[in-house]
Amino acid sequence: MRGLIRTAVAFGAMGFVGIAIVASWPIAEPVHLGMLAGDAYRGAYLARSGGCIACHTGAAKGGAALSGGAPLDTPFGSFVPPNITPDPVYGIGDWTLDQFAVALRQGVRPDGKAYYPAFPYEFYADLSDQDVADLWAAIQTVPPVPVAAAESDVSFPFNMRWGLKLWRAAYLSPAKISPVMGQSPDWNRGQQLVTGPAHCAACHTGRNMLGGLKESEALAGNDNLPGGSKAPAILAADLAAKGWTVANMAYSLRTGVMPDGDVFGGGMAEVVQAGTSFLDEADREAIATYLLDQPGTPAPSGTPIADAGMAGMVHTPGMQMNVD
Amino acid sequence: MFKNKILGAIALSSLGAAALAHNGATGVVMERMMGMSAMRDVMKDLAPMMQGQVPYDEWAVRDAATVLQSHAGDNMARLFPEEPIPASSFAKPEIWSDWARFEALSEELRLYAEGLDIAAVNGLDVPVPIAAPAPPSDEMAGMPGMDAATMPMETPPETFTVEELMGLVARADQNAATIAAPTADGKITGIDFEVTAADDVFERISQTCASCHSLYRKGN
Ligand code: HEC
Ligand code: HEC
Ligand code: HEC
Ligand SMILES: [Cu+2]
Repeated sequence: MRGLIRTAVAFGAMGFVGIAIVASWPIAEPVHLGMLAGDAYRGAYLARSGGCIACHTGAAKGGAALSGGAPLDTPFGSFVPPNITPDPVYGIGDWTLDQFAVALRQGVRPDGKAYYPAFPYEFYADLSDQDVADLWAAIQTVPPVPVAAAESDVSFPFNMRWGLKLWRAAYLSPAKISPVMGQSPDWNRGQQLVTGPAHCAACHTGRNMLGGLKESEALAGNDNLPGGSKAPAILAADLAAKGWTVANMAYSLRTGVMPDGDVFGGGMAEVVQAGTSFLDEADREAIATYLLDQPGTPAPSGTPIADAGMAGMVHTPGMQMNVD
Repeated sequence: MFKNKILGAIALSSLGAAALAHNGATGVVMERMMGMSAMRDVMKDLAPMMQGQVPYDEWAVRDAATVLQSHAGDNMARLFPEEPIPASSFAKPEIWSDWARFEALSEELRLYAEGLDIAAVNGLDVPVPIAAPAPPSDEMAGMPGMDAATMPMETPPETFTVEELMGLVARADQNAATIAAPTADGKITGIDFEVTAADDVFERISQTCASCHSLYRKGN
């Protein structure tokens, strides 16, 4: 709480000059995808793996696909995932592919303002141009819904979007995923899903007072999830101690049944029902393979050690499909 | 005397452990947690069997189905009287604002448990131990000649259509009531348990547990 107060004071003290400067400080980097054609199936698969469908559809209330999701309650306020159907007025139908790419990978709105990290764009930062075009194509298959989603209800000072630029400067940690030498293709695919679009860390990694992910505690659990639930640690040692194996985790990510016979509750039940149960079996096994095979130390396992000139293992953005 | 003290201490500490295991719950909250835990224990035994990792045992499946039935339907619903939720409980208040749906899910569980008892004799679709087989659709399971003998591992590829992936239509491998449809009436239509593989029914059961937990139980 003291942290919050201090920040509020800091925001206040900066005064108008500071606000004016920060507010006009451009944050988006230009992208040029042009008319890149997308593959709707690939995009739909990615939209499932990435949780777009889960968050932006109010399934529990019978809402239409992508027409706006259930509010996410956080200490900063309640964030409503907006309508992202192709409706030109209430959705994103009048956006360009480039604007969509900037929103998704950089978290910046078409008007240059920042999105709140409740939209987990940090995890989408490493999607390739093709991935973005695929998602765009998939979104076009959804009927436009001409109804506005509810407004987010965010408390002062967090309702000042310009403040997010400071937040970004301090905490933004965009995913950058490089294959790790010596690990199997399965493991690397798992790394890509877990640290990228499947955004497991969004819940399983703790956050600081201002909602920034604590990178040193990656996947070590989070006791403060929206709605007051807890996500346990999913580090290899913790998982092994609870009897998780690649086979039973892949099964669990499809059915929700844990090795002790309990069935996931809270956010995890939704992750399975609206997300991982739609994945190919190979991808569920890849996720499990990656999570269960980590170096014993809490040192940031799975942190890219590539990009060091190892042939064929350099960083390339984007999701490969595990199908062929 | 001394021995009694030790026994007493052991009894006390195991009571303590039991209470701790349920977060210090008492009364009806404790009762429903015990029921849920009994179901957890049978699910634990069934899961490896349903994946073909341990030998299939029809009678064990039928016993398990009886346990599930006894904790589902009204027997479950009546353990959720509307009252302020004590700190020991993980129940969400939506249970009572959405009562019809909650009740429908507990009834759905009872019907599937009944179905598992019927389907137990059918055994598994995929007899060989593999990690986690793709769920065959009900139509396939019901079709003559489409059994494990003629189609050993040829379960249909587990891919969904664009419409299913985007959430435009309910996925074919689940019944609508289970996937968070707005009005679940708990009716199970179109499933003939006599010709459904036990692992299919088991998966529906776990989907029902998961649906209810995702709506009405806070993570623990
Ligand atoms: C954890 C929930 C969550 C997930 C997962 C999620 N979003 Fe969002 N999304 C949000 C929220 C909340 C906002 C609004 C953020 C704000 O107002 O600053 C948002 C905003 C957006 C916007 C901007 C809409 C507008 O009108 O400005 C787009 C586009 C979008 N999301 C697309 C996606 C796509 C594509 C995916 C999957 C790759 C995705 N989202 C996954 C919660 C989510
Ligand atoms: C919306 C938040 C959220 C997201 C996203 C999420 N989880 Fe979870 N996870 C949870 C919660 C809450 C629990 C505890 C559930 C329970 O005990 O009922 C959990 C539990 C788990 C467990 C069980 C751990 C144990 O101690 O037995 C595993 C394994 C797991 N999650 C894996 C994943 C993977 C893999 C991903 C990414 C694909 C993921 N989670 C994404 C919230 C989340
Ligand atoms: C109709 C809703 C519903 C269904 C169906 C359901 N549960 Fe639950 N379950 C709950 C709720 C609500 C709680 C939290 C109860 C509380 O803490 O007061 C819970 C809690 C639990 C717990 C934790 C008990 C404890 O000791 O804290 C376990 C284990 C569990 N359920 C297992 C299962 C299994 C296994 C199934 C399926 C075979 C299942 N449940 C089906 C609603 C349901
Ligand atoms: Cu308990």
